[in-house]
Order: sequence, then C-alpha cells, then structure tokens
Amino acid sequence: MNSPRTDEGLLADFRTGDRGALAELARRYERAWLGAALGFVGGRRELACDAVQETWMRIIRFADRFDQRSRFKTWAYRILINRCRDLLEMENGHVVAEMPAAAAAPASRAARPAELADEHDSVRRAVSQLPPEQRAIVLLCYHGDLTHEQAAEILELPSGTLKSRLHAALNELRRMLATEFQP
Amino acid sequence: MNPQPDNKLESDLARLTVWDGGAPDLWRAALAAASVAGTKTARWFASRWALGAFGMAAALVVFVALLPSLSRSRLRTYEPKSAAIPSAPSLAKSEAFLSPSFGDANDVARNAGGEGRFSNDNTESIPSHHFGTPSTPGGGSGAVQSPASHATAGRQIVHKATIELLADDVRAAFLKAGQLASEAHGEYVQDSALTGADDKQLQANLTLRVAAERLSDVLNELRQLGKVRSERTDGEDVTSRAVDLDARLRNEQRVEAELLDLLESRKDAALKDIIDLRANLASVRNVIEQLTAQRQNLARLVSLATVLVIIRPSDTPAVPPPTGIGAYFGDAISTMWQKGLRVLADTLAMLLGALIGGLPWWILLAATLLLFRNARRQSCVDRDRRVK
Repeated sequence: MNSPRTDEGLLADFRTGDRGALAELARRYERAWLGAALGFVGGRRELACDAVQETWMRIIRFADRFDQRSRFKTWAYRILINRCRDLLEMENGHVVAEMPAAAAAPASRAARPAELADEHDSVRRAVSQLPPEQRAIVLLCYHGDLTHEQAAEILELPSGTLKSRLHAALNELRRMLATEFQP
Repeated sequence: MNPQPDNKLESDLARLTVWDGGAPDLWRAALAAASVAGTKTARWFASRWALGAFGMAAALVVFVALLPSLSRSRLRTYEPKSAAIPSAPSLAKSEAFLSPSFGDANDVARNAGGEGRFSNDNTESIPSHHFGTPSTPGGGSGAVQSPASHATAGRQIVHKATIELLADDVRAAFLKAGQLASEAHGEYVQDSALTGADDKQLQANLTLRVAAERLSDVLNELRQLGKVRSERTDGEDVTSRAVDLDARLRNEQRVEAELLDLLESRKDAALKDIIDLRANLASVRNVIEQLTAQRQNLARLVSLATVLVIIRPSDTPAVPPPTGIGAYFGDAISTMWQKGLRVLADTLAMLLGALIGGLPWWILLAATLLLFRNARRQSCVDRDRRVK
C-alpha cells in the first residue's frame, strides 16, 4: 500500500517538472487557503482569489528556494498572509474596517435570514477592528485547516503566547460585540 | 439582541475562514502566469548577463588601453639604479644625446636640447655592433668596421655610437676627446660634462657630432685614450622617411605652383576668392617650409654621426660580490623583498590606473545597474497593479 506523498515531496516533484504534484497540492490546500484569505481580506472573494493566485505564483517561482527548514504548509500560509496584507495595503490601506459588510457578503448569503447575516457581519466587522496581530491569531486559530500549534508556527510565536493573545483577542471581541448589541 | 455566547462566537469565527464555493483552480492560472513571468525573468537575466559581459569587455578595453602607459610608468619608476657605476649602454638609454627624429621642424630643437632618446619609429634598424670589454687590456687595437661602410649608395643612415673608456687621467682624456671633433668638417661637441668631487670620482661625458664618414677614425682615436670598457654602434635607416619627405615636398611645391598659376590667371576674380586663394597658398607654403626643415634636419642627422663618450678613472673600484653563505642568503632575501615590493607597487598602480582610467565606465555601469533596478521595481509594481 502506497503511503500518501508528503507536501514537501510533492513540491520536490513539482520542481522536477511534475505538474500533477502541484495539482495534488491544490487539491489539498486551495479551498482552505481561499477560506483563510477570505477571512484576512474581510470577506471579499475576488481579493481572496487574487491572494491565493499570487500565493501560488510565489510558490511556483520560489519552489527552488524552499529549504525545508519549515513545513510546506507553514511556508505557504506565511506567503498567503503576506499576500493578503499586501493586497489590502494596495487597496488604499486597511479598507476592511471601512468596507460595508453587506457589499462584501457573498451572493449565497443573500438568501439567509437577515438576522443571521447581520450577526455574522457583526463578527467580521469586529474582527476587522482588532489590531493586525490579534486579527491574524483569531483567524488562524479558528481556521479549520490549522491547529493552534501550526498557527503558532506560522506566526512564529510560542504556543503559550499564542493562546494568551488569543484569549485577550476573544475578550476584546466579546467586549466589542457586547457594545454593539447593547440595546 | 443579546451578546453572542462563546460557542456562538467561536462558530461565527470559524465561518469567517470557510470558503463556501468550489475551488476555482487558481493554481493553473498561477502556473501560466509564472511561466510568462519566468520568461521575462530569463530575459532580464539574459540582459543582465549581456550587461555584465559588456562591462567586462569595457573593463578589458580600459585595461588594455592602460597597460602600455602603466608599463611605461613602471619602467620609469623602477629602472634599476645600480649602486656601482652605470654601464655605457644604460647611460646611453638614460642620458639623452640624440633625439629621435619625428620628421617635423622640432627635430633640431630636440636634438639641441637633448631631451629625447633613440627611437626606431618609422625607421629600419641596422644590425648593431656591440662590444663588451675587450680582451686586450690596452684597448684601441680592435678593428671596428666603419658604420659608414654599411651605407650603400642612395641609402640614408643615421649612425650612433657609444664608447665607454677607463682612463688614468680622466681630465686629459676628456680634453683630448673634445678635440677630436673637427670644425673643418662641420663637426662639433654637442654637449660635454665633467663631474666628480675628486680624481677618483671623476666622470666625463661627451656627445660628439662627427662626419659619418669619419666615425670609424674618430672611434679609433677614442680607443687610444684609455681602456675600452664597452662599445656599441647603431645605425638607423631613414631612407624611407627621406623619400617620403622628398615626395611630399615635391607634391606641395606642385600645389604651390598651381595655386600661383591660378592666382595669376584669375586676377579679375572676386576679392573673396582671391583672399581664399592666398590663404590656401600661405598654408601650402607653410607646409613646404616645415617639410624643407625636416628634410634638412634629416640630412644633417645622416651626415653627422653621434658619438657618446663616457670616460671614467681606470682605478674605479669594482663592486665586490658578496661572499659567504650568509651574505648570499641575505642578498637573496633582500632581492626577493625588493621584488615583492615592486609587485605590490605594480599591482596597486594597475588597480589605481584601472579605477581612475575606467571611471567613466564605472559611472556608466553604475547608472545602467540603477536603471535596471528601477525598471525592475517598476515592473513589479505594474504587475501587482495588473493582478489587482
């Protein structure tokens, strides 16, 4: 029985010209990256797609420079986060906070009950108002594709530090949401 | 509406990073874009290599251009300075006693001032006769074939000779040597010097200009003045230069005659034309005068041979060679140290020369690299904008 190829092995195969290896990596990660990017760019799907496409481009271009000191997954997420930051900066700075949440909501959500959508957008708006570091911690820690350890590795933080900052960020979120929903 | 409970908040947070559509296979588009970008990068690298190659070639050209001047500089700077008495040939090289003829009107001035050196430019060198220390102590009996005898009919040869003598009485030999130039034959002493604090340090230098056909006789008489330490005769065939000067002179004279004819036949021409014609005539006459002076100077060089005479006391102590293994070892170390210093100085001079001489190239190279850097940055910004 063949064991599944590792991410690093797939990247090495891609370096030798195996496009199928890149397709396999895409099958494993593209949707997860799109989700993470969606969180980082404030729910704008086009921007998330741009971020992921540029992440792929950098992976392809710098595949030779991947030195395996970190795992492929960590390396790729770091690229993705940086691309999201760059794209947001290019979009006239931090527009997440200014962006109307309704405009950013995907079309599929239009069919949701108005109250649910409103609550969801409130959370997105509150997250966007967090300091960048706390926002990254919250988004990565609640991203389904990553464990807390992996999030700590991506952000280059000790695991304990990550958890304490996550705790602080959640408290801040709760405070903001409580203020918002105050009658 | 109440604040959200924790599990509700966490589920909302989790939903923020969920992609609720299909994967759009962005990796394919990225792969296509990367291949295009890769081609551009390859082109950029290729251009950079081309630029590097161009820079190297430019540096090589600068280096090659500078090399001769550096070599000359090195020769000037590191010409061996013998602690003992310099030999006649080296003195002949360092002490000017005949300027090279460049075929211009300044030849006379250069020869009179004695600032030039022998040159074989535009001349054919006649095989020289170099004699080391004669085996006969008395010297003077060695029969030297007359350089003039080498001159065949119609050939123009400039003769030069150097003779180094050891005399018991330097002062007397100096006076006798000066008297060898016969004014009756148009000969003269070009320059003479007697230097030295005492008799043991005396040294006499004379430059005699003697008739070419008398060179052999004069050398024979010089040999009688002391012991010949070294002797050298050279000849430069300047026939081609003389023929060339004659041809140019005839041509210019023909042009002058034509202009004169034209001036005579066009007396009724416009004043401006006549002035132009006269200006041209003056220019041609100026050239004729220069060529005539050069030709006369060349003829004078051919007719008068140059003899450099160096006279030193016969009891000049020879430099004793180092004896013993210690002295030998010390001398070897000293020599190697001197060589090392020279190599270091040469290297520094070469680097400095390349740095200064190639300054325009370095500036050009830096500017080009800066432009490439800016262009690359601009292309990155443009690409980001396109992606956006």
